[in-house]
Amino acid sequence: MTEWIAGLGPWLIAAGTLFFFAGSLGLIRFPDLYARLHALTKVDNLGLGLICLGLACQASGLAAALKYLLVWGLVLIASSISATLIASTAMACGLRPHQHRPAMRTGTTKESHP
Amino acid sequence: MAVRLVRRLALLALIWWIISGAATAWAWGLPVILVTALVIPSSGAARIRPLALLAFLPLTLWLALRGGMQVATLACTPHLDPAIRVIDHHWRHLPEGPGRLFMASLINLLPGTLTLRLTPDRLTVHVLQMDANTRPGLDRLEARIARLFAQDADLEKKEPR
Amino acid sequence: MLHTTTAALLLLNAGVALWRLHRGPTSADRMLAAQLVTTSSIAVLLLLGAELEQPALVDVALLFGLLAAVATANFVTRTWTLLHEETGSREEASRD
Repeated sequence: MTEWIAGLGPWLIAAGTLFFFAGSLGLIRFPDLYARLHALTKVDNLGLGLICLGLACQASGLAAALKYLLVWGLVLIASSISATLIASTAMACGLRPHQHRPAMRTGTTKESHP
Repeated sequence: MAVRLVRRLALLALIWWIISGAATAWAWGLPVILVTALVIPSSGAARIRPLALLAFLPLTLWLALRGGMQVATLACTPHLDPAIRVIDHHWRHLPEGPGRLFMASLINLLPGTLTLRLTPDRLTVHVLQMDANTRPGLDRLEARIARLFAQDADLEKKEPR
Repeated sequence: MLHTTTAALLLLNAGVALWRLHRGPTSADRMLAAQLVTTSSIAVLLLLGAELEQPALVDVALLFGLLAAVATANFVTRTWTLLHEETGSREEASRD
């Protein structure tokens, strides 16, 4: 059972690395700040989470494994709160989100701009 | 109150155990844990019911996994054309307080949503890939978080309706 | 071995973020690039800590996670607000 879990580790780490690559691809390609925030908070944290899980599978003891997960939890909380901080400050500074099909805008955002 | 203190002590002891690597550092740890438990202000998180949180975690992890995969595939598509929208989510179930902050932060990890602004009557959400499931999904999430934060008394009050 | 290779790849990946740092349009975009570097460095520290059997590196990663939160909060409350006050009038004028 333990060997099976330890064998899972490298695969999780490799998958996490792929997510990191997808995250920076998003950071480069997405059109505006808000879309890039999506890429950063979701994809990179998932990548880090998979790497942490993979390392936890190979860890020597329960406390060491939980410590990896603690690092992940901390980063997860920090980045999800800072995403909202950055997004709301950007809104307050007057940075408009880039929206798909501008013709639809009056219909979809009439509530948010009274 | 006593229950809350015991719960807080147990949580801090667990964190200390993890950080110190299951070692023999309890001589330092015990005073630190005691002082921390007495000093830190009580936060809204203390109102979360622990059992409900346990039931909530797997769903959150699953949604976070899906969120990451969705944005990752979107970043890898050759012709990038995301259906970005800004929508308003009106509060229906959650009262003012820590529950709303929790939801606003949680939304950032879920598929395609990002909190832009938190006001007393609504939540402005940036949606990366708008589809028919987005609004019902937000409603369901809010109902779930309301159950997570509800005190037992509140639950009994609400259930007959 | 796998850990070292992965760590090297992640460093390379963080180098990509430097492009966004250079390009930027707003200072928040640069902050995002810095966050990507932080997340990558946490992953690198964890991987190297497992490879070299140095458990202390995990503590360093934990500290990085804490500092990332503080850095963003500081950026939002102080730096950007100052920037906004400085450039706000110019942006208002140039938007239309």
